[in-house]
Amino acid sequence: MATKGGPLFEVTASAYRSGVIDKGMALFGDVVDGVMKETGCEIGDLVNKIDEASEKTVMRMDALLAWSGPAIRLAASDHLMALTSRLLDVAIVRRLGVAALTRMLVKAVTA
Amino acid sequence: MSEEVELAITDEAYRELEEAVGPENVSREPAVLDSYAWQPFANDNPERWVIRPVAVAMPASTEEVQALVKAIGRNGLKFKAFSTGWGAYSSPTSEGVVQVDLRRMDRIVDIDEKNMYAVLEPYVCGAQLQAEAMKVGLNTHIIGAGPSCSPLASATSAWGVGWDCVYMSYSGRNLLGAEWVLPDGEVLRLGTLGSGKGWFCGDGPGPSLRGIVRGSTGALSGLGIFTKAAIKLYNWPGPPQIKTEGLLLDARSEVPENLRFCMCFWPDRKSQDEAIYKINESELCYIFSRTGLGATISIATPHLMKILTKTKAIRKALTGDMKWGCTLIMVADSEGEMAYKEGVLAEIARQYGGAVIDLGKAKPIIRMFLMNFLRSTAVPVVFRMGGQMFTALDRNDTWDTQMDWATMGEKVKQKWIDRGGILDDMADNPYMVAYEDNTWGHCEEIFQYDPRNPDHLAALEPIFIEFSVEAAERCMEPLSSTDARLRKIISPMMGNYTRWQQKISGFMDKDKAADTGMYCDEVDFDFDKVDPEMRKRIETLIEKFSWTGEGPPE
Repeated sequence: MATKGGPLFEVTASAYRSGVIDKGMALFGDVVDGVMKETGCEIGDLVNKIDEASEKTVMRMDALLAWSGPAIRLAASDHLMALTSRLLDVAIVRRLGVAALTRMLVKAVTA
Repeated sequence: MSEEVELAITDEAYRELEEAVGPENVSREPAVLDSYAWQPFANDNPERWVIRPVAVAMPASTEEVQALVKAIGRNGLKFKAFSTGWGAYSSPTSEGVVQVDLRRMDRIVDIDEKNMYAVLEPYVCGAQLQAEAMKVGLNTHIIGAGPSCSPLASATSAWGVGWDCVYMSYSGRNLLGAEWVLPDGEVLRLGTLGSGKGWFCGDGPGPSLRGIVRGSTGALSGLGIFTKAAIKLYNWPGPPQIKTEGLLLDARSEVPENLRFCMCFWPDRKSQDEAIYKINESELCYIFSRTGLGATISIATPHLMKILTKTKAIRKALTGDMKWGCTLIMVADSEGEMAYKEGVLAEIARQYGGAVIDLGKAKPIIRMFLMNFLRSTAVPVVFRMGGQMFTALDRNDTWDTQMDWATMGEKVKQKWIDRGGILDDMADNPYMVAYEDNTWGHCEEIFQYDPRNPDHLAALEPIFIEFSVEAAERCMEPLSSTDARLRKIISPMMGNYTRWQQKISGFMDKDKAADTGMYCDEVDFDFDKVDPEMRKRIETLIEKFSWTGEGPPE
């Protein structure tokens, strides 16, 4: 009886079906651990940093999301997600991904 | 001491209170009394505190409670019990009330590991009991108001919903044997306790008094004071202690291997509802809740929420694409059991097109969330956004009915958000749980407001009335069934329940020693403050649904 949800839901569902969510959550955990280690922040500090995001930043993200319709629809493709899932099985991809995201977040947190 | 306070209780009456519990455990000092009169939750005016008690007394035993209640009755005063307290519900509703503060009765009397129950005094809190129960592989239901609340109070006297209801039921259904000091000071022992057979059963012999003790809500001290109660405990397959550092958003807990913490999302309401029925029928969950994603953001990051409400695409994603979801914790006694549960959840997700996010894969996240859910410690953060919150609940019913209530609540809230009457949390903020692995559940629509904002304060009463009318129109029992003003309107539509409660009160409390303001009192409602459209809806309801002498309406 499955029906179709909104575009972001479809991306999430596709990511779940292909295993990207499970792999991605593990990497996300590594990223957060890395940010905490490098900045000395606790998880609560990071939540508070997010809470302090400026209106300008949030509105920029809103605009980005509003313009991302085609990319989101593309991302909901099971084929693309299957490929992403296989890429995440490669250790160097995971390492590079975690390192890049950690660097980006550390920069944001310490800005 | 002010003249007003001197007049509130006579020296002779005060001396009798001292004799009952010892002079060091009674006070009529204004500063002490005002510390009880300040009860912010459910108090709709920051300048108007709840009614100040005439004295406060702290008994340490059942015998002292008996002596106290008798002294209060002899002197024409009333009593109102206060265990751990959570808002105005524990406070006096009229003048001449002695606050019976039960904080000296704080012992876990017994944990019966084999028969899975604990015997408690009123001031034992949920966190305390849970910590002790976990040491012997057991756990206790903790209500939504949080782990600082008394399990005895919610089991015997007030509501009792919580995230763990899916596994550990509703407070009133966990009540076993109980020791009850009646308004005349006599002790009634319920169930097996009354026959000298221990605490294991709260009913009989013969007709059970559970319905009188609890009704749908509890008498909120209107029928006496419960001094001990046995509460049913449940299996806990985790470690004897979950080591945790920090609090709330800073918490870092050691996560047991045999526990999964998942967020599930579904494409639409129908898929979500069907999937939730399947999940609960499959007995997967230890904790189950449905809360809007926007609501989670509003309590964790309230400043960010204020900005997010101005967005379009993000708002649409949170309230549209990712609207249909639930959060659950699964535990298992073995690896095989967990594999089975994970497999069933995956199959349900496949059948209904859902997505399951296992938060346990992101260690820092689950370390922070774990005890906030398992011990319900997250509750205080709901006050961050505006400083205050209130709620609109119907009564426990089927999941479909609860979802209808959530949908209606979102509409009412959006209207008041647009009018500037409450804070914008994206409207979809239901606190929903399922009960007993089954198809019934609970929904209350949470709304947040700033008590320093006059527009918000002015909106509280109309919102309260509107939710009450919406509930009555759906033949549901509103939260306001405990409000003496609305009770007078609602009771005739609900079999004149107040009249029956008044008969029970009259039989058990001939001297009217209990404060019955939240149990069975009625006062006139001031219709002048109600807008004409709402007044018309109320009049239609009264005409359509009021019971006659012959029974229910046609």
